[in-house]
Formats: sequence, structure tokens, C-alpha cells
Amino acid sequence: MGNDVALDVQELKVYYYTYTGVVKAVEGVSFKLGKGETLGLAGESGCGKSTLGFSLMNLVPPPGKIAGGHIYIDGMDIATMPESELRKNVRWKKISMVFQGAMNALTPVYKIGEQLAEPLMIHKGLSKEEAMEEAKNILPKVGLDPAIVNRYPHELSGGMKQRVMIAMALILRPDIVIADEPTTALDVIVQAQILNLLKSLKNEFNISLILISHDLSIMAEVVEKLAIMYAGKMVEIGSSDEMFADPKHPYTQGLLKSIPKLTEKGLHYIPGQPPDLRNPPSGCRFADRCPFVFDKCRREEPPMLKVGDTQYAACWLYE
Amino acid sequence: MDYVEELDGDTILAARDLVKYFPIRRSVLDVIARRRQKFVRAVDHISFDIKRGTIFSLVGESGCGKTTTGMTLVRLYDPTSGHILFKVDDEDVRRRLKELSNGKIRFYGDYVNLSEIPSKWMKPLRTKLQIIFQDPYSSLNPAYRIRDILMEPLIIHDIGESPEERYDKILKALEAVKLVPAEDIANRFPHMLSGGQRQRVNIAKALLLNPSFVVADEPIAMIDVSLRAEVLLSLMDLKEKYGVSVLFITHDLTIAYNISDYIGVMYLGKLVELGTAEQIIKNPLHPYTQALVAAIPIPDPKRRHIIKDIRIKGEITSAVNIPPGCRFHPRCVAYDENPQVQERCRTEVPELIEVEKGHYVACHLY
Repeated sequence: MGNDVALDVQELKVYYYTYTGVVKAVEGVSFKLGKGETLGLAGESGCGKSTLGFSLMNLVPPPGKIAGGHIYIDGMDIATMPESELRKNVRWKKISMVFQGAMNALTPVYKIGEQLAEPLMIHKGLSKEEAMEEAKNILPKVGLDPAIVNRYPHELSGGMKQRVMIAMALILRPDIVIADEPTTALDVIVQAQILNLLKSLKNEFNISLILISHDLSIMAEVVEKLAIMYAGKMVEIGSSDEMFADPKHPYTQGLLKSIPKLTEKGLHYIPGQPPDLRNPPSGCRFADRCPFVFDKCRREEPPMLKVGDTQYAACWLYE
Repeated sequence: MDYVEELDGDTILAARDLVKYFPIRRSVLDVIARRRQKFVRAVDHISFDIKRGTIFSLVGESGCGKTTTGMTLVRLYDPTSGHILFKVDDEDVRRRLKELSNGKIRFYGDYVNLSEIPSKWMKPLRTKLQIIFQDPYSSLNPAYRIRDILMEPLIIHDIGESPEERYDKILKALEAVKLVPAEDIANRFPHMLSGGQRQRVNIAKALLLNPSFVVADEPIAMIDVSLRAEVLLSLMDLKEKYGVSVLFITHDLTIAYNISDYIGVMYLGKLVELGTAEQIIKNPLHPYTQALVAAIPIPDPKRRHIIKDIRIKGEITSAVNIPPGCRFHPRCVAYDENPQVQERCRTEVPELIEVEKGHYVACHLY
């Protein structure tokens, strides 16, 4: 693994083994995250992006399981690491996560300071006093008054809770942070403030950041590299500049067109719906909704093909 | 009542000094200590007009009172005070109202005042006032097929002479929102439809009763971005093809810009700015509106090096302990920069004044 690669995901498969069938939520996804790079993982409900995010910490909730592939961080394969090893050395120390819906991720019965202190006490063996000091130090970095260590979550607003979650993800100075829909459920002004915060923190803490969201506008604001997921597959990846200027995969094109703009009025959508992942179609999963579909699309699944300097798209149009 | 004289025939609904307060439960201690009853002042004296065949978006962040306003306008909440003037053109509805109220209902020309109509007389008006809610997953009864869900309002309001005629109306309503083949969709259960399709069923349901005014409360917030336009286009059809006026409640200014004729911006229970969509987005006047517009994310990756300058301080304050004077002043950066108005901002509640034609703002800077 190169020295400038923070995360190397190879052919990752994550399946949910449910009563009604096996849901192939992530089917053979590969990508690399460079050190200090910000990658956006975009897609709509059910595309597998959150599942992918959880799998990077091997935290997929049952009945989900990593069914194949590798996740390399610092030469270690997270996908096959035993739980005890993950807890001791990986989770929160090397890679951490800011969860969706921060409102619900904080324990209501403990004060903020105690919740921030916990990872420090468990993973770094600090005493409670030392950990609380650390907690007070990190809060101003996320724009919060250190005095809130003595407050309970219900006394804070949604935006403030989200900032606490970000502080919690950074407190052990991990190399990689995954932010899963960090601004959904937040008002537009608070959203803009949190995005400003993420932008300044990624430089200050020198982290590699993965931002998961369905909102391509906020992706544009923050990420350098962008990956688009559809029905469990990665359909396009490339630099943010290239992807927005010249999207190659028909799904990416449709998605970008669907974003309402202030520069011109117009409403566009992609007709149809994503396929049922218990029974995915043979061939390209986007075929049914693709305006450019032809024979080969329904027979064979397209691999990632190079379509630009940094851009790859899984589409037979570019063979 | 003098409000009615100033209304032009084009106005379908007018809110005048509308107020909705929610009392906060008092503990035994509060009662014993004789503490004053506290209220959540969700909607605090707002006035605006909605013209026939237009889409009016009510925008603001959570807690500003926009949903409460929508619910109060269709009388799902009773207003605490104020007037809601609603134009009743339909002869049939007027007749039914007179019958139901034994002639006691008061008409102000073509208008009735929804605030003074008791619930027991509301039924004929309910066909004309409809609401579409945010959550497509909990707003349709999962135990009924779509056709039975759509039959219900027709049966309740005695529309249609026979089951066949009603079924025909249902199919037409489904076709109007492009849910085709209509017979197939009518036969399905809600879980067999996507979020966007379910929301269009809700629109079809509202359409069935031939309303003149529909409140749509964040109808696309829970739908994927690439599927939202499908629902929005159906809503716009309501206006364009059926002449229905829509109050569109949203926190998303970009959507508001793309579909509305008029936008009203709310903050902590008050209307702070009002104008056409073009005026509000391209020339926001109130400091709060300016902050909202500045915060809108733009899908242009070249801007990612820019740390946005959003001119607003602090957090939204409580709707129980409202700041005196202009309720926005504690967060207003313009307040800090303009010492000459600070006294007024702290003590006097600003009224909406017309700054350019049709563009109103409630701010002492003007």
C-alpha cells in the first residue's frame, strides 16, 4: 500500500441476510482515499452508501455482514479483523464516524463532557480529570463554549449536538473520518455553518474525510473527489471538478440535472425507481431507467472504464 | 368588518392578524406559585393574501411557525385570534353552509371568515380547503387499497351518484397526477408504491374534491432528489390546469424559487419579508432573508475553497421567551453595524412596509 493512501477498498461486498431474501446492498465496490483527501460518496436512498460507510468501520448492523472484499487501513484488513482487535486499535483511533441524525446519537442521561471523555478514558487510558480537560479543549475548535461540558444533550440545539458529534469523532485524532449525512435534518443556515466547520477542520486536523450524502450541492462545497453510487454499485468516480463539469454516467447526468438551481428555473427528474436489491437485474442495474440503454447493457454488467483524467464510469457507452 | 372592502376579487384567501398560541402545561408548583401562563407564540399576528391560481411559498427554518400557519388556515387548528377570509364561489357549498348553519352563517360578500365558523359548520368548506402532509409513508392507510383510500372523501362528501361514477372520478384523478395505468395503481396497496408515487396519490386525493386552496406542507422533504420534480410537477399542474391556489411550506429556498409566484419569509412566528419569488431571492432585503439566501449551497465545486460569509449570530431563540422589539435583533449583524436604529430594534416591533411594488419587509432599517 502506497504511503499516501489512507484507505484502500477492494471489491467490497456487504449483504443483509433477511427473512425475505439476501439484499445485496454493496456489490463489489473499489476505491482509494488519499491522505488528507476529501471524498464524497453520493447517491439516493437504498444505493448502499450508508452501508458502505458502516462497513469501513466494520459496524454494519445485523443481519448485515461484510460478505467479501478487503478494506485496507495502514496495511491492516478491517474486513476480516476480529472484533476485539477492531475495538482496541481501529475504531475511533484510526477511523471514526459522525452519524446521521446526531440528535439521536447522544445519550440523554449523561452530560456532554462525560460523553466526550469516554473515548479518551477507554482508548487512551486517561483519567477522568484529564479526559474532561481534553474535552474542554476540543469544544472551541468546533465552535462551542467549553462550559457546555456540564449540559445535557436536550439542552442543546440540533446544530450544537451535531458539533458535539464532530468533536467526538475527532477527539482521538483519527486519520480517517466518515461523516454520514452530517447536515440532513439541520436548517439551511446551520447546515452552511457546519459545512464551513468541516472545511476548516479537515485542514487543521489533517484528516482524510469521507462525506456521505444524497445532496450534491453540499458535496460541491466540500469534496475534492466524488463517487456516485447506484443500487449497490459505484457507477462513476472522479475529481469533483471533472464530475460536475462533465458527468459521463447517465445516472450522474440525471442526478445533476435534478438539482434545482437559482440561476435558471427548471424541474427535472429521473423516471422509474431503483431495482429491488434482493433480486437485482442481470446486466447494468440502471438499464431500466437509462435514456441511452442498448442491448449489451441488459446482458452484461459494465466494469469501470476510464473516461477522463481522473474519471471512471461503469457504462458501456464508453467502451 | 373593514378588511373585506380592500380585498380584490382575485384573492382567494386572506389572513389578517392571524395568531396561534399554544399554552404550555403548567406544573402544580407553577399553579401554586401563581406563575403566569406561558405560551409558545407559534404564529404571532401575520397577514398576507393568496391570489387565485398562484403558488405562495411560506419559507423559514424549523420552529418559525410555517406549519402551524398552514394547519390553522385549513382549520385543523383553531386560531387564537385574527381573521381568515376565504372566498366561496361554489354555489353548492354556499347552499350547504346556509342549510347546515340554519342561515346563521355570515357572508362578507363572497367571503366567509373561517375564524368565526364553528367546527360543526366546517364540513362543506372542507372540500374547498385541502392539505397534503410531509410524510408519504405514514399518510396513507396501509390496510386499504388506493381506490378505497380515494373513495373515502367522495363518500364522506356525497360526491358522485353511483359507485361507478366515483370510480371513474378516481381514475381521472390518478391520471391527472400521471399515476398510470390508473386501474393498476388503484388496485395496489400503499406499500407497493414508492414515496413519490404515494405523495402523488395524496395530491390526487386532494384534487378529487375540487378544492380552491391546498396547503402542501414540505411535501417533498422525504423524497429523493431525483424523484422530487415528479411530485412538484403534479403540484404545479394543480395550479396551472385546475386553477387551485397552493400554500407551499418549505425550508428549501431553491425549490421555493423554482415553483412559486410569491414567497413569504417567517421568523419566530412573524412574517419578516414578502414579495415575488424573483424579488425575495434576487433582492432579499431583510437581514434574515439575506442570511438564508447566502446559506444556500451552490453545486459549483470551484467554490469549495470559499468559507461562506453568513451574516447571522447565535442560535434561534425560544418561541416562548420572545425578545422585545424586533424578535430578530439578538441575531442581527446589521443591528450591530447600525447603532442609529438599535433603540428602535430593541423596543419597537417592526411592521411590514412596501419598499418596492409588491415587496414588503419588516425591518427598521427601511
